[in-house]
Amino acid sequence: MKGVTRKILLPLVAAHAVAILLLLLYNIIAGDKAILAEFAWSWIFQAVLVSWMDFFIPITITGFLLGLSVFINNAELRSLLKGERSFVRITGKTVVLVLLISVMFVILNAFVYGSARQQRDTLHDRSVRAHAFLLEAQDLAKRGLFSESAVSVRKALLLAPNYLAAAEMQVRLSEKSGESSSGGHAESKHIGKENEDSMDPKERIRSSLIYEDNLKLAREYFERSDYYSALYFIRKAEGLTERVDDALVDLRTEVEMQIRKKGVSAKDHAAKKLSETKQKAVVDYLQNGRPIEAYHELIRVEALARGEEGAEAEHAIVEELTAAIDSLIINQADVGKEYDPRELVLPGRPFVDPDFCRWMPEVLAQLERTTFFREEAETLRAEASGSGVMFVNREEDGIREYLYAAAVLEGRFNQYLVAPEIIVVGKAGKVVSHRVSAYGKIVGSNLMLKSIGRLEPERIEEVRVLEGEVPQDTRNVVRLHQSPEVIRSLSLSRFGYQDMSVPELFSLISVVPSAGYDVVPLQTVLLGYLLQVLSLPSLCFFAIAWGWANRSRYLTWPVLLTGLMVVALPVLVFILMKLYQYIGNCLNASILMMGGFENSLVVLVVIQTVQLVASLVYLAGQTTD
Amino acid sequence: MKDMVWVPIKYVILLLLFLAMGTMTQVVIDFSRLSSTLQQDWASTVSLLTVNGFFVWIVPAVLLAWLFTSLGIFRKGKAKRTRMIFLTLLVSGTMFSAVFFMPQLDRVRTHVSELDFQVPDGVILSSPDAYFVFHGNPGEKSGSVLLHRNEPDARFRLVAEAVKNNQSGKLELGTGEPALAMDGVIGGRRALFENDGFLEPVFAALMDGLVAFQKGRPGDLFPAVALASATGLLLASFWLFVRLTKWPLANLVLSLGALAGILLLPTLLVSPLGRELLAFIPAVWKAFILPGIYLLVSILCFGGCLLQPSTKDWQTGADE
Repeated sequence: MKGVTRKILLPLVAAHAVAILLLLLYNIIAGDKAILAEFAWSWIFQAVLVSWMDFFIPITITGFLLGLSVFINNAELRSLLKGERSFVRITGKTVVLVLLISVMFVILNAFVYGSARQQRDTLHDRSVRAHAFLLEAQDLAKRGLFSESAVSVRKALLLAPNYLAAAEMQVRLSEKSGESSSGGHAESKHIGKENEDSMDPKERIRSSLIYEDNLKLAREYFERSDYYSALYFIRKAEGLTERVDDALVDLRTEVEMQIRKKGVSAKDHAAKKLSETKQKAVVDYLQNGRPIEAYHELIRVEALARGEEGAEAEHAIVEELTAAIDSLIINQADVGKEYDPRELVLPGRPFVDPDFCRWMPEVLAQLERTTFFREEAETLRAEASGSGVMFVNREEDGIREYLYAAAVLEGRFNQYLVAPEIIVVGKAGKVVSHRVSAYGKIVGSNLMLKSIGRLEPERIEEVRVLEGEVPQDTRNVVRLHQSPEVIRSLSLSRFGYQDMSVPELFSLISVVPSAGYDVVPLQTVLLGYLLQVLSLPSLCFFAIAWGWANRSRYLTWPVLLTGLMVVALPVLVFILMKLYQYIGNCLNASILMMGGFENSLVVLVVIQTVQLVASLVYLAGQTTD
Repeated sequence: MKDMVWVPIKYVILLLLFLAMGTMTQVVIDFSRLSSTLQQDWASTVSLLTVNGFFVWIVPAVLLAWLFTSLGIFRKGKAKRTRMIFLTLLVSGTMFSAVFFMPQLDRVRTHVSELDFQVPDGVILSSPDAYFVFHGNPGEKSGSVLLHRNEPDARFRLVAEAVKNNQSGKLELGTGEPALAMDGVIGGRRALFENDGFLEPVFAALMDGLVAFQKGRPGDLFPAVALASATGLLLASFWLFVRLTKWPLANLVLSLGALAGILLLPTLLVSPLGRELLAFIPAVWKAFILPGIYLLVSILCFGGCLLQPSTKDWQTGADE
């Protein structure tokens, strides 16, 4: 690159370099204080990138203006021009350069800018949450709850794998619990191995196989008088076939009869109570589709098996169970799998009752089909800063179902809604029904509204119907007509669409009207992005021509006042660019409202093309006089 | 002779260009903000908006046309005094016309502010205070409004009827409920025309200045001539900034700052502090305060101009 092009390019590069340096210094000195050390540089990079993109156009315009009007030395310039009078002939390469810059900027803006903003915010969120988990772990450890503390530390490390304070805490906890491991996943691997050891490998393989294998296993257990295990495999077999197998029905009847007999014939009071509680949990409740009661009874079974009774003992078991479930969630997250309670393998230690260990995953799986444990949502609500959302979920024959949530929380695999509220408004503007719940969990295309607490399963949070009638069987579930991604995007766009990338905007454009939102604001932002392809080059050409026309013909070296103006110019350019963007947005929105998206795109492209041609004509009109 | 023709032509072309661009933009933006009922009667609505746009943009267009013509004269450092004198006379003349038209602005703006802004029916709107949706007639009185305030333990509420107050920019809900501010509402079309926080003080200062300038406009002919002449003279004295440095672009920055001063000074005069400071001046003379200050500043600037070296000297020391 030689001559004038280099002369023009150098101030431009210098303007961007100075801007990036200033932004870097600003973010290092006055950046987000909540960011963990391990995320600091990554966060700074994203923050600088976002700010640089925000200021890209004013910086570029300033670079061109300064480069052409004050930083080209006259004597040197004359030698470079070599008698050429037409300015545009010697700036041909610059025109190509401007087009390249514009294309680069538009691509960055459309595809990188939005994700950079989101990554920057995610790093902030992860830092805050990891720190909160560590504080929680420290608190639990002080209270002597080491296994729960270890889970919280693991959560912190999952969010921030190189979080030094959390890693140190994990080592201290491992030492306390006598474990030798110090690696990040040592505990879970250890538990996993223990679980594997406690299972009969043949049984593990066969239990997940075909109908006949399960039936065979059921018979084997029946013959060994292990009736609960027999019933477990009967249920598995039942789940694998739709036909009614008389042999299976007979076996089941016999097994249930034996279970009842066992309760009656128990030798002592404790054994009888244990047997009766098991019978209640498995035969009376679980078999009859009452998993919440079955869960509660199974916890009592384990307490009785340990020779302990009462709320305190049951709470201890629930906490151990919760730790095991959390470990499963973490382990499955490590290998990128979604949490499935059926895969919960309870270790022999500290759990003592084999039927509890065998049946609990089944109970959890059935329970989580109709309800959910709200602890994760409560934890997320405490640590994360989800924003609220309201949208039209369904509209038929003028009847609209609106859904509101105070916050949308992103779990590892699920979304939760805080205080979801559903109102159906009829044709005449009258309320048809209105219901609320404490929490909602999105599972597939359903929003589940009934939740229970792990520690207090009897404290069931059900939907409250405030107005109108809602059938009992559909009261606790809402069929969602918007996907979880759309709900998330709608909550993110609560304060406008400016932070969204072009692909995100395109994905929302067809959904927004059905969700009850006006599409024009979204289209205006999208048009702004698309038109930059034409507006940025024309602004650059105007800047080049304007800078050249107003160059300092008689300045040998910038004096003090000129130096001050070099600093003031970017400020003025920034204000003018803001004004230009504002007027542009107003015009885009006005034309969109009058003509629709396609027509407006054509009209605005024509206007921008005229502006581009005018800028080129103005550039071409410049001479070297 | 060529200068005598070229300078006014350039000034008039620039004036018309800025005025046409400003007015057209204003009309397009204002028209799209109106309700569909008013858009149907487009002929009278557009003419009203055009007059409004013209009055809003006349003073800024005069100032900008003066600035760019002046910069053109001084760009190559070979300015002749005749050009500037001629330009000053022209600016004073057009400024007098602008000042003369100013009383109309008040009347037209009253009509424009009465026009109804669009509030789409059935569209979810969100403000920092609440989510809300209009069901039914989107006219001045809405049908029912479904409302969800952003408050702890708030629930959906269906308000039977609400009144949109375009003057206050608020939605009055009746039944003792606090009104909802419509400014800053996201999702609606009104928000598309609201500027971001950064431009707010810039706009506010300029609009306040314009309104104050208009209020400073005297009712009688003689003070009006005084204001127009003083403004013309002040602009002429701003040669000081137009040719202050050998770098025309820097001069543009300085001149824009000086022009902003023309609009900001009236704001200071109508502020409580300004009123208190000028309380001792008899009411008859108040119409002459602004022209008087402009005259004083222009004398100071002309003094500065006398101390400036001739533009012929710019070439001295340059690496010709």
